[in-house]
Amino acid sequence: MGINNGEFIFIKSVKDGIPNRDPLQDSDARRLFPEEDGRISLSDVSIKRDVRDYVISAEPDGGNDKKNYIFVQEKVNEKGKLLGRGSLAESIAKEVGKEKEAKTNMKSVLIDHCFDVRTFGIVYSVKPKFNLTGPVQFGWAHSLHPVDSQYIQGTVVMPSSDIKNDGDEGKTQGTIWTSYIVPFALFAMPGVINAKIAEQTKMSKEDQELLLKALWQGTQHRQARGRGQQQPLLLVHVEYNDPYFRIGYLEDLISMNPGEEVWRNSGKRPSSIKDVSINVEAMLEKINMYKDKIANVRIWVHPSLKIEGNIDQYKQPLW
Amino acid sequence: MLAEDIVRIGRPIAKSNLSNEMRIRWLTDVDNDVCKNYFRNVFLLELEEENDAFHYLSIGEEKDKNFEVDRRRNTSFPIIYPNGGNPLNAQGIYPVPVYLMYDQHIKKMNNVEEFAFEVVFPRLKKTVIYLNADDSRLEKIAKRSAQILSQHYEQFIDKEKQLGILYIWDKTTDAFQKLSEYKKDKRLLWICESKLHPKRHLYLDGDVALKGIIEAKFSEAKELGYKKDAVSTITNQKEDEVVSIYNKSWLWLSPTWEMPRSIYWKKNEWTNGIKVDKKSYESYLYGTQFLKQITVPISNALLKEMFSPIANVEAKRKMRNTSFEPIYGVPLVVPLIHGDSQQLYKKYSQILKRENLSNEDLHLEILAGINRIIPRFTDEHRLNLLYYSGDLSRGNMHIRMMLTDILPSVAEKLQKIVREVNSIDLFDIRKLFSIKNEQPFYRTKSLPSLISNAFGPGYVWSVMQAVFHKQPIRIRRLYEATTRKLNELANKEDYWGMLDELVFHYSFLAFYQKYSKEIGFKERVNTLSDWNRLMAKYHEGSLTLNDLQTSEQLGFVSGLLLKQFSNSYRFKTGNDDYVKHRVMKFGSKLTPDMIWKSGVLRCKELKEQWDMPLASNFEKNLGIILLAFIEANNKKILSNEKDQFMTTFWSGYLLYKKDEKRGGINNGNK
Repeated sequence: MGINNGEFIFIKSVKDGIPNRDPLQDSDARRLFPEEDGRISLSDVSIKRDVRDYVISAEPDGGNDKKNYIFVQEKVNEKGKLLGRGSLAESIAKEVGKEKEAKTNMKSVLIDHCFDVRTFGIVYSVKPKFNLTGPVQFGWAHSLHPVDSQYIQGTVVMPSSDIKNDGDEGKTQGTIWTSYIVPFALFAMPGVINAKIAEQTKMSKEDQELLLKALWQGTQHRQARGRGQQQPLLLVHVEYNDPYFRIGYLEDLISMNPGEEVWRNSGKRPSSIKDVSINVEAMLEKINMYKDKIANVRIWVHPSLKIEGNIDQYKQPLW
Repeated sequence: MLAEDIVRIGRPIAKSNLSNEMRIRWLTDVDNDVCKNYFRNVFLLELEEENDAFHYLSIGEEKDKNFEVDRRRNTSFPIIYPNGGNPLNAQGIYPVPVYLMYDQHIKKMNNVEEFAFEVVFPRLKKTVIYLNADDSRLEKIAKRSAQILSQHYEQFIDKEKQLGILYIWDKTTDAFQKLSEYKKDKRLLWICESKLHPKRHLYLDGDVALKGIIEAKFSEAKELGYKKDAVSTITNQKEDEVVSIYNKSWLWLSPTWEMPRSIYWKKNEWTNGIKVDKKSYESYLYGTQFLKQITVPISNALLKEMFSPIANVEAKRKMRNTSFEPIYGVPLVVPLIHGDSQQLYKKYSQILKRENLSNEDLHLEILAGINRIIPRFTDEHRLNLLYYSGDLSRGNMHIRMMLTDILPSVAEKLQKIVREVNSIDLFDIRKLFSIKNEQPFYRTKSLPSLISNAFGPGYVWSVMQAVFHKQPIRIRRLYEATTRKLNELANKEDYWGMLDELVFHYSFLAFYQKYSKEIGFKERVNTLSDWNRLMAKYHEGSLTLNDLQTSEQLGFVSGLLLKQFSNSYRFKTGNDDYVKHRVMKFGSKLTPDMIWKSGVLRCKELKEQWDMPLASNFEKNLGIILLAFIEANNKKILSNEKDQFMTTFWSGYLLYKKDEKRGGINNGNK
């Protein structure tokens, strides 16, 4: 069954960590906005990683129908070496018994068996080369308020190597680690689903549902000291019955209270979900205005998030 | 576009009256340190119609186990060092028959057939001056060369590893000449004396060699695609022939990194990207060589200033100079219009040679952390600054930032401001805080370190971009960071550290004040003279409510007041510090509210209780300050502008000195 054109907005929070580091900035947060703005950002890549990792664990070995393999992942061979793109694709083809077909048409093998190829698209730069634009495209996720990252240090008790001789000096202590963290941040990420492209990549309704679930649960389960504690808070999915219509910029129709200006002017920063609420009234108004073009609206919300606006009719049970 | 900038830079060099010798130096690898050992063994074959001779030369001399190439002669041997690929095979295109020889080649020189057809012939086929020659002629030359070499094999072969240059001086081509005299010529480059005709001399025609070098580089670029009758991306006009700009000769645009290539292009279709015509390509080559020479790494000390965390003193101290990835800076001065090439070239060579410098030149060390000096340019030029990190020799580079379109006049003004801050303001600030230290203050030494220490490493590039384009900057972050650091240091009672932070704080304010004035920006900050005036009024006891309208003013005088009180308190109680023991609580952050309620409000009560001798100004000031606190609290500035308040509080606290004119006792300073 085909899917409808749609768009979504996903709000997540992070505590005591930086979910997407800037490798050229000593692993501080990504700062796309100037200093007076102070917001930090997450790339689509970081969110897709959460989704992919979730699907890998939720659908081991491609799931029951062997449809949900993940192409973009770090996988090692028996010698402990990372697999390259070609070998990854071949290993998937081998597992689904389509090695022969893969030699002439890797594209169809990957489309039929990889969830991320169908949803996010692929650039396959191994011969025979091809690329596919994904029907699901995320935007950058920006924090809804200015964020100050803090530089922290800690100690490791284990020395980096053993002391071989009794008389040896040094390496008797662990080392000091250093890292940037943000105490708390709330991010909103927009995304669209294009039905026309979905036809080409064969993205199905089940894929769409798996994606929404993966956004939620993938975020929930991915935690590390560096990344911080992530929490999905709000997911809104709007499906259209008019293939050429889109409300657009849903992220501008929601707002946080107190807003970014208040935080900026007071010099304070929110420190937990309790400090803020999300106002979705403007979005609900737009949804109501265009209801004849909208097929379906669903909203998932975390119980700890305060919402301003009546979303009862769209509210979905959490997975 | 970077490629276009490089062409613009290279154009004056290409058009200049540079000698052939210098041009060869620019475009080949004769001066490359990697190539020096090849000059140890030069196998020069002198071929005339019927006769031939063998020369075994060494171009340079051994000095302290190190071979030094003779720079007066090496340009007659225009070698090009291959980047990547198997160097044992014929690589790329050769301008003239001068080929690098590796040990394996040299050891093979006694095997005529093998050497002729595996080494010499494939190279001759790829040599520009032989491009139109038929194979039979080339085979003959190859065989003849191999025979000569094998005859003299014993003479030069060594058990050690050897590197060398095979040079085929072929009279039948127009690249070489033989003259009866030894002369210095602009066009002809002397190689050595002839063996066939003693007292006559062998020369390389520089014009032909150069044409060959450019042709060779152009042909090399062709390997990644070329088009006939196509529009050049640089000139925007139809040109006879265009090639891809991506090639191995300059690894910034290396084709080994396939990022700019669409997966739909074939290996030789890079012209779908940027394409250049031959003339622009020549300029491009000069431009790249020039940039190679002016690229400098940013010093580790500055990297530490630029990329250490700023809100935590301890973290910055713990950072090692070496814990930062190297970053390289490249200054590009791009002419906007086609001007006088000679003059431009002269300025470029001034940048390289670092001579005829004056104070008015742009010292990029101050402005951008790049250790280069750029002579004065008019505003018909633009300065672009490029910063990158990564291993360029592997074609692996990450552009950190490209600051473009900087007006030289703006850069000049900024330089003046930074200099003034360092020479005048810093001196005054230190004097005021009674710091006798004359050590250089690295945090204010250059614009990048000033900016980074004020705004933090996350914003260093974006604020530099703003400053170079005369856009307004804000200082809220400076206050935030200073307050945090002062708090951290106050808890440790590191008063010298606090003074250091305040010196930076006021130096940056001095910079900010001058910068704002320069760009016509309205916001005014309090500088030292304002504080001096306020301090004088405080000592006189003539403060009024009007003097204490901002959080900064109130913070400053509260600092003075508490320090004056504290001095007296210490005299009465022994060694206790009032602020430390009565106002601050262990490990807590001092806030304006605490200063007001636990500090200033209790002064009167304690004064009476302990019967403390305080100068007459104290009580007069206390009354006014308490009133000002109530007013400030109503206006909510105590909470909204706490960073400004705290920074100036500590400034006042650390600046307070007994007023000599009024004597110690009366002033509470026994």
